[in-house]
Amino acid sequence: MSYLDIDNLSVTLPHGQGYRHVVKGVSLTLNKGEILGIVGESGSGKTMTCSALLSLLPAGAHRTADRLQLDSLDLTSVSPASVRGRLISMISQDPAAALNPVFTIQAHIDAVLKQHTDKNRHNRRTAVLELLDAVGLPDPLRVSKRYPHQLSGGMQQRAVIAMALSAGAQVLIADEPTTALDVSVQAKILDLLQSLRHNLALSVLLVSHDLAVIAQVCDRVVVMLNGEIVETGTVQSVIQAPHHPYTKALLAASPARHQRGNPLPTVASSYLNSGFDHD
Amino acid sequence: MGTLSALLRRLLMTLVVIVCVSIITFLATRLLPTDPAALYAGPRASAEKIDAARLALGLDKPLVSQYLTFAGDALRGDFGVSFRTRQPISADIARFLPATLELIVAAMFLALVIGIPLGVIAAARPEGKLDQVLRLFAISLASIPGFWVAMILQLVFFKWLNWLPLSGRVSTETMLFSPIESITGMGTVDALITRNWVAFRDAFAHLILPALTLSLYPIGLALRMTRGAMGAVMSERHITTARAMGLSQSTILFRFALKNAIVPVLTVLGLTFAFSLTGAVLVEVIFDWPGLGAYVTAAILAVDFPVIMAVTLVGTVIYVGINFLVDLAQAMLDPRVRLS
Amino acid sequence: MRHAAPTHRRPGPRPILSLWGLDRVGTLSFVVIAVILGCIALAPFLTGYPEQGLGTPGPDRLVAPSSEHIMGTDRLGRDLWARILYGGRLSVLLAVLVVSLAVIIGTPLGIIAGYFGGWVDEVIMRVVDVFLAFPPLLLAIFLSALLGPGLLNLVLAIGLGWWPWYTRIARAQVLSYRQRPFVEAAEFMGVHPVTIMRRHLLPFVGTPVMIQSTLDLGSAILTVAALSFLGLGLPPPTPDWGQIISEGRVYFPDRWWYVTFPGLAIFTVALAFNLLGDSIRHSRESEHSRATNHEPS
Repeated sequence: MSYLDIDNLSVTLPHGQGYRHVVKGVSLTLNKGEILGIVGESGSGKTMTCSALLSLLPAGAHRTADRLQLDSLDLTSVSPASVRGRLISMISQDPAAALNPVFTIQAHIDAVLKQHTDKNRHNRRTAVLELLDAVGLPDPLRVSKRYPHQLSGGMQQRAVIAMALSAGAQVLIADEPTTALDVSVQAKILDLLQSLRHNLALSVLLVSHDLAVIAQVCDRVVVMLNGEIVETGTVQSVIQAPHHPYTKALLAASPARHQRGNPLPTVASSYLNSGFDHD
Repeated sequence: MGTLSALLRRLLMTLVVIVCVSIITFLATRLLPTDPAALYAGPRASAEKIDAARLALGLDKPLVSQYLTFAGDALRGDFGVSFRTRQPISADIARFLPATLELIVAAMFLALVIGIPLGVIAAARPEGKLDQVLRLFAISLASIPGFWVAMILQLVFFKWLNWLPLSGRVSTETMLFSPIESITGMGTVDALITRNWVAFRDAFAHLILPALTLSLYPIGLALRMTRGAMGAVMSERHITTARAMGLSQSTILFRFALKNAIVPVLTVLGLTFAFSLTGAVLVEVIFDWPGLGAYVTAAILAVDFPVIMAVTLVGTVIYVGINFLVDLAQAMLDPRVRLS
Repeated sequence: MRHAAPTHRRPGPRPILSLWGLDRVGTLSFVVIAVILGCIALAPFLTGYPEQGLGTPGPDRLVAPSSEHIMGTDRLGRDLWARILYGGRLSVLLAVLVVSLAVIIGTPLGIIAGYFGGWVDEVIMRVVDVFLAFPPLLLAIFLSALLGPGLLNLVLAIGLGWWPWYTRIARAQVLSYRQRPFVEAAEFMGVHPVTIMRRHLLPFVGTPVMIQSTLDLGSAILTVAALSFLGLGLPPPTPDWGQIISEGRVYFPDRWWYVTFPGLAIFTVALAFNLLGDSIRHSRESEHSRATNHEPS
């Protein structure tokens, strides 16, 4: 039995006089303690799919789904407030922008704890330090007193993860969590996600355009194109034997498996342009 | 490290601006067609009397030395004597300033306490119904002639409802039976300090209408500036993060976003002060509030130069000083520029 | 779901007509302004007492509003409606003159400061700082007390404190266009600086200055009224809103109409200009944000 179950999720955005589908009938499942990769170009609807789970869609957007279920809870019947942070949290690409520049790390995590738990001041203080320790930040006490701009990108992202998990969310949506970071730091953040999955049985939806990242940590992967899932499978099967031509094109364009000396192939333009409205 | 030198530079600039302001104020009185000596000598004075006045005022000396005398005296707090009352102006200002400050502080308090939260609420849903209504509200406040609305308030709250006194700082009974001992010169504060509750109630009641009138424009100003600053903050990425972590709308608005916007919002302080200061001139006239505004208005009608000049100078220096303090506060509040 | 490619606008000032993309409030306030301007222009035909409007005393003093005198009469028996109509002429005229003076002094200085930069910019902007150091209205009170009464003096007194705002706006605008290729090309070809400023930079300064001046017309009307209320306006019997309120104060609140109607007149006109200016600015801002926030998801 899967932990998170999404069936036939669609999202429309107002567009001119009418609307357009940015997510078209997406169905996917996420097991407990699993890391599921979502891969696709920008504009393929992967971020919208994640935002839809948290009801964080732009104004005027409309969400429909046959089933949005977490454990045994129907997500469409509960208020977004009871989902965000408590059940599902989301971290995003640029940790520097995701942290409020005028608050310390302590204040960030404390605010989430205060919102979702009835811990007193002292207990929250302890909890913050435990969380910072849990995400592998050295010297939690020192870090907790720092402002975001005083930390490195990797430390910022760890702090954001600590904030996301502080209220006990069991599902973490990580939207391009390493894109803005140095390669060496990327690997460490991915390691952290791995260890959190093992230690806390955290389920992770890892959104990325980078197949190398997906290959490194994910169990299964879904490939999205133009708001639809075009391929699903275990990482190995998708990477070794892709079915959909778009996946093949993506794989071919991935620098990691590219051989030196040959020109880097591009994703076939026919796939990018079919029914696509970039403007 | 750079912040300290930046602040010192800012302080230096402030001092230069004050010197320039004093030069402009001084030159205006000397270069404009009205002759101070003739005014000093009074109406229908003989030519000899005017010449004597010119000598007495030092108007025969070169402009530079006249300015230096004026500036030197002003630095020592000496603004000369009023042409009208022949009283030392500094003493008059010291007597009237507290009443004006009391009024301005009350008005600024109202402006910030009403204007800032309304601005925050307006930013919750940009372009929503409430946002638009509050925008109209703020613009209406900026379009009301204060001296007129003061009278309308008197009509409603004094004449019709009889809830609040018409004008003045305290009623005659209070003056007779429970007079306020003057410590700061601000009626409500003094009554509070001396625990003179009867007088406090009375002084407070007298303060309401003038303070309310004076706060109308600044309320609109604070609302719009807060809304603007919040609008920029609310579209930032960390607000979305805060949402994704499940923080409530009120926590996000009043705690997370407002502290971000507080630096631009603080500029409101300087501006509301400026508008309260000038608004006080009119409000004091209507409510018979014995402050600097009423003082300068009487001086205007009597073309009492030195008084007008002194009040302009004092008002400007206070305004410039407040703006400097606001800059200082902004630098302290923003951790990105805070002295480390 | 294909749609037309985004139109690429020629970089340049947009034609005046595009300002009519106003919202409902803006359109309404424009109509109100038009009606008010029409009323004061046709003042002699809208009142039975044009000579009273200009100052001749009438027979019935301090009469309450009636069918005869819809807004009542003042202490000299003059019809208030007529006084307000003629006073409107003066208010609008003064406001236009004040704002024009500020624009005429401020805009060129701002363009010069922004174009030349360096010490020219430094000097001009320090002067601006000094003028902005005066609390608003206080400088106007000070100057008009020194200059004495009179239409031009009143305009000077207010306008002299107002121009720095336009210098700031114009400078900011010039700075953002200063490095554009068409300016540099013109410089390269040896076009005279004055021509560059007039031909290539002035057009970009025009729109923000126009928005600001619309907003300032409202403030100018309020300032003029405040000064004349303080007795710094034009001498009687010139009809003037601030002065009527000042006279009526003695009879307030018993003769409520004396103060109420001129106040409403000031409020209405100031509000209409402020709303119009704000809605022009608003429509341009949202247009601007639509044009810039255009990245695909």
